[in-house]
Amino acid sequence: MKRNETRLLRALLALALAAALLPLNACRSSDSPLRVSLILKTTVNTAEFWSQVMDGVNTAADELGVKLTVSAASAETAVDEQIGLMRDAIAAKPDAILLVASDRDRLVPAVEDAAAAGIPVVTMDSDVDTPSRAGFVASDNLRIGRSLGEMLGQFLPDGGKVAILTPSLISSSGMDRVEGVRGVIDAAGKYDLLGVYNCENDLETARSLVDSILAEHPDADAFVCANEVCNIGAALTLTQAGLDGKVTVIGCDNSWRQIQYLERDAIQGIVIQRPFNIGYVAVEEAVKAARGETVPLFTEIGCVKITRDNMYNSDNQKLLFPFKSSN
Amino acid sequence: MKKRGRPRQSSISTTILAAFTVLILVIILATVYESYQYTRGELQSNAMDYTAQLVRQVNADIDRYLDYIKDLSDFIVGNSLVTAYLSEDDPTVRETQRAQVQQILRSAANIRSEVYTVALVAADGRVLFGSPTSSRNGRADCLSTDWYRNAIASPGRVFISSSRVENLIAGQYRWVVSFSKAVIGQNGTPVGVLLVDLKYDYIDQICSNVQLGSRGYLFLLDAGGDILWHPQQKLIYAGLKTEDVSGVLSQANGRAAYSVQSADKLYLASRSDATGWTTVGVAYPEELLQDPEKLARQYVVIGVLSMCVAFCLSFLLSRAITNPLRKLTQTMNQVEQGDYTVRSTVRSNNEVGRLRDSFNHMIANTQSLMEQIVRTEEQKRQGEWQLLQAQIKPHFLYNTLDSIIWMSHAGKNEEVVEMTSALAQLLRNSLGSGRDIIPLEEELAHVESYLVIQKMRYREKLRYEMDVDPETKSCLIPRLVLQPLVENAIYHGIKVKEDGGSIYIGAMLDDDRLLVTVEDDGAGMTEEQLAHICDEKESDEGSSRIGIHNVCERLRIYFGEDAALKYFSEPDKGTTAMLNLPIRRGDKEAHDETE
Repeated sequence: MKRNETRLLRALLALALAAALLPLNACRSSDSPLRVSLILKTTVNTAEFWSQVMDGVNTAADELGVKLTVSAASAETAVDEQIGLMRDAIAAKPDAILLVASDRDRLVPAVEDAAAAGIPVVTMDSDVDTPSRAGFVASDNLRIGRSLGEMLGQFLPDGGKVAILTPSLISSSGMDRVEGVRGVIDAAGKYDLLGVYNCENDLETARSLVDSILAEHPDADAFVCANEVCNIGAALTLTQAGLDGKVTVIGCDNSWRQIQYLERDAIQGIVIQRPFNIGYVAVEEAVKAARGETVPLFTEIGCVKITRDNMYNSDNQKLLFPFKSSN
Repeated sequence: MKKRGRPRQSSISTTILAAFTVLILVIILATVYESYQYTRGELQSNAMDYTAQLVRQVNADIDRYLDYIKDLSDFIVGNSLVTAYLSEDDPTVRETQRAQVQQILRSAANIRSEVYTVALVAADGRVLFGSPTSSRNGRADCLSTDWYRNAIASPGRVFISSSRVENLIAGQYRWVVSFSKAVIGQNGTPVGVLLVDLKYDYIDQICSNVQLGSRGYLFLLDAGGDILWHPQQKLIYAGLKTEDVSGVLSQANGRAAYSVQSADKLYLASRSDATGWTTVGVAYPEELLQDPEKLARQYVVIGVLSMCVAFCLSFLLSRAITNPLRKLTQTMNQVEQGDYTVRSTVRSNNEVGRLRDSFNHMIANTQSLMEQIVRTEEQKRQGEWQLLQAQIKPHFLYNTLDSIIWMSHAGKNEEVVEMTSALAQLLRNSLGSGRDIIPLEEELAHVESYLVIQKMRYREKLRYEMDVDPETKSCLIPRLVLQPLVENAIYHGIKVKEDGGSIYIGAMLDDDRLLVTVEDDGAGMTEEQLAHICDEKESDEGSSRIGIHNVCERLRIYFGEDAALKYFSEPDKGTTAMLNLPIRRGDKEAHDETE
């Protein structure tokens, strides 16, 4: 009996302790911050577009508690250098790699190596041509092109002669946008396409191209521009020729010069991307991929059509006049 | 307790302990949990009050500042120079007024660094900036803006815009909050609007310094319910983050300050009547507690400690209840083993105390009953012996009296006298005192009287001799112990022998023992007779003999095992009876009384 009693006492005591210690089990484990390597095309002479992308990237990194390592090649065309940066990143074994590919094809082996090493790669703005990458975050250039075409229809509803300016005949973004515009124009059937002109992303080239187009086709009704440089070139030339407001100009991207031309009616409409969102969402997806979640192969960041009438809408001014990082 | 396949029995203390422990465990758990929740709630509501107070404070700060801007606006609008300048139609006159008005505007703008621009907009679209370096953005259409139209629509009131991009100055696009007020001309109609732009950064400075916990923050809603300022403005504007603005505003119900619980956030809103803005604090309830785990740990420690204390107390309590019972049981066991002298000394005033009293009473009763039984037995035995004593007297008396009659007839007067006096002495000795214990001296006198009578009867056939140490005379011996031995020696030794014999009676001390011997040289006894000497048997015919058995019995009664009667005998040679007794002496007085 004595032994039974002792055993019972012990059991009761243990029960009491167990009950008392129960709430302590509510301990949680905090995970260490994820490490993400961001590899840009270049940090030299970047457009305002990229500073906004980086703003989004940094905001997301802060928000999600990501330790970010940024590296970039010395120039946009230094593809080998970027491949080298990819190799370095793989060696550092981050939780994920965020890549702005400077070459669609030549970076494929590096991305595949990273995937083989268990490091998910998310591309942003410019993709690589391999299914090994976890996801791609960008605006849909084809849709930007189509939006340009739609705005043309808005300001030139009765049809007319249209010239298309593009920064490049080889870059996928430029070509996709041109294709989008042409699709809309062809479908409408009321526009006379004067041609697709390559300004090689140079303002002077763009201006002389516009001059020569005007000389050849004085009755040109509209210029559709596939990027900021083409757009400013067209607006500037037409303003100097006194044709601002008379010839329809539709453009892409967002800069304060474009905004001024838009206010003066030298540009009728612009299609803007949301670079902040691209950077932010790309980091979000890199984090998801690092945690083993599946991310969509392509995440489209929508574009917005801005005209003189709606540019000071409370929604649109937020996109046109972004807050600076210093805010 | 042995197990015999019965259902297992638990002791009372274990049962009490188990019951108490379970009960206390439940109570303590419930109490600690309740207190924890209560404290948590209290701390949370304190933290919430503090947060709400902070939010109201920020709201009041903003109000105060905006009031200042409004006063500034009123001051400029009420200035007659300003009214005159805007009302003047003649450009040349206007040009003369211009510098003075501009000075007024500039000094207003310079008072505070956070004022971005101060400008007058005339009804015809002319704009005069306070700063001479600012030039008008020719394309900006200010007459169609909200601030202009609202100011004209409600003259006398200051209109406060939401956050907006100011594009009035050429080449500059800046986020501001605009204050606008109509300037009333002489004829009572608005002649223009005063615009004061407050740098948006300033609101950022006021709000971003406010810290609500490590994750909590603050945001501002304008009168229209749009987010005016948010620490993550970029995310809000990019559509990557949303706040439950409609949920917050729908709960206002006209109150100036209120709180709304939405998902895991707690919105604490404070609305300003002056501006129509709402300051909203966002707090995370689980974060309002400084360190919830620390609090929980404290309560766990309290719980464990009180449980240990309660456990010890219930252990002691159960012991206190069962210990007296256990002691009582031990006493009962002693009684069970035959010790009726023990009494329970358990100290208790409750039921156990009453049980103890009953038990002690019962044992006392039992003990007195037992003693009574012993006493009764003793009395019975004594009664029997006195009866025996009474029985033997007549036999001897008749025989002696017969002898006296016979001698009288024979004319032996001297012998008659001698025998009669011996008989008288004998009877006196026998009947004179009721005491059972007498000095040896008395017993010897008795024996001598007896021998005198017997000598008359047996004449020369009986001879006797006494050798008594004077020291032994006062030793106490039971009455009628010696006489039967002498009687036995006469009847079984001397009487059966043809030529008779002699009897020797001796008494001496040997250390602390009294030795009395009755020796005869008569017939003696066989081994077999000797063995049965102490057996109980009927008296012989015609003998006044009291059986040796009786002597043995009485010696045992008075001395216990300390007394011995031994016989040594050889046929035809004689018999020796020896009494070996402890020495006991009576006081002299008692002795005298027997004389």
